[in-house]
Amino acid sequence: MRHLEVNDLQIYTYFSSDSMMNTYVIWHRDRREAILVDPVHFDGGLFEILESNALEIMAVLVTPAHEEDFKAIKTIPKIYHHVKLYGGSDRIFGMPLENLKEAPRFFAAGFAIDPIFLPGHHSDSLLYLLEGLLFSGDLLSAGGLAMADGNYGRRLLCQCIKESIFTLNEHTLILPLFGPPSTVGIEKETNALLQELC
Amino acid sequence: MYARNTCGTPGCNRRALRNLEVCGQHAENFESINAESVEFLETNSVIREISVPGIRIVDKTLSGKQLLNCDFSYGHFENCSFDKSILQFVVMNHSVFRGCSFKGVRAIESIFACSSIVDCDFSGSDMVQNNFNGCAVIDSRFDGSDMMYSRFINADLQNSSFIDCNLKAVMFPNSMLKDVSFKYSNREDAIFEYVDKKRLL
Repeated sequence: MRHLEVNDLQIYTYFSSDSMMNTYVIWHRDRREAILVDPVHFDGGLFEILESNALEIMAVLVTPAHEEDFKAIKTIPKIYHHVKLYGGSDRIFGMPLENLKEAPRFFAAGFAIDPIFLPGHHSDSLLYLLEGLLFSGDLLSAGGLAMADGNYGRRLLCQCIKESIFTLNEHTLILPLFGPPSTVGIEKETNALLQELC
Repeated sequence: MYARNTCGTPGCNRRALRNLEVCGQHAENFESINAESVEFLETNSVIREISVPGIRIVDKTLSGKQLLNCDFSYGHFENCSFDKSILQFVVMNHSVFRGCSFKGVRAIESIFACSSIVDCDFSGSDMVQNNFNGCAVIDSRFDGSDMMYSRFINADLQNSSFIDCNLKAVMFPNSMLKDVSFKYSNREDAIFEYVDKKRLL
């Protein structure tokens, strides 16, 4: 687990070595409400981060709403009763998910969050832009891209990336589900899969 | 708002300095900003949230420091020692590292991407989940290091060594490797090719 402070924004990256996935815990320095992005496992390590900072999870953001990857979502509402789940579909584990595919900016735990719908690979892929940080899920990582299968999917993915990602500031930090962080500029410059697609 | 703005000078793509509209190269007083920043780095052991894109550090010993969430992108580091330092979420992309020593460092989730790394020594380090994509790594050593989940995609590695390293899930697709030694390392756990030429995993 790694602690990152970005002005008033606090982030822990909680890395699961079993699944090789990153879960991000975000909160405002002066508040105790937290956001979880892509919670993979709800285990002792993650609970310790939350408890040692006296945090209550108010929002869970999932990038693709894949039940097999984010089993922690089953546990979280049992502990944090006020939590609201956000994603790109209507339900996860039988629980209601606020579908943000067509949604504009929304607010959670004191932060403005811009959902970015990026279809092509999954039909429910969402990325989240929060205080200049892009949470890119499994869709875009350092040197990686979840490629769509068919021609239509690839064209759609390319168009959406050009409109939604390439228009962001080059120095926007990318925090992916897999692997190390990156920036939009680095990916444009070095990501061969992205270059091939677009 | 954590704004990481681009320099306002037409044609310049570097990151602007915090609270300024231009990058280090285009700031009128950058030499004094740079000198103050280097002095701050030398005199403090825990350095948190320092943002000096374009920083230039030559012939300095910065061993045993804790660098947390700092931005030194587009920097120039020459003959510097960072031995036994902790680098946690340090952004140093598009930098030049020449003759630097990072022996025994603990670097986690740091970004070295698109940098030129020449004659540098990262031996005996924990280098977990770092981004070296697009780097030119020449005459450098990572021997005896844990490189787990770090990425060297689209990089150019020449005359460098990863002897006795943990290479679990270290990614090298699209990279050029010339005279690179992986002796005694678990090379079979590293990833050298894209799956079906379109996926990493």
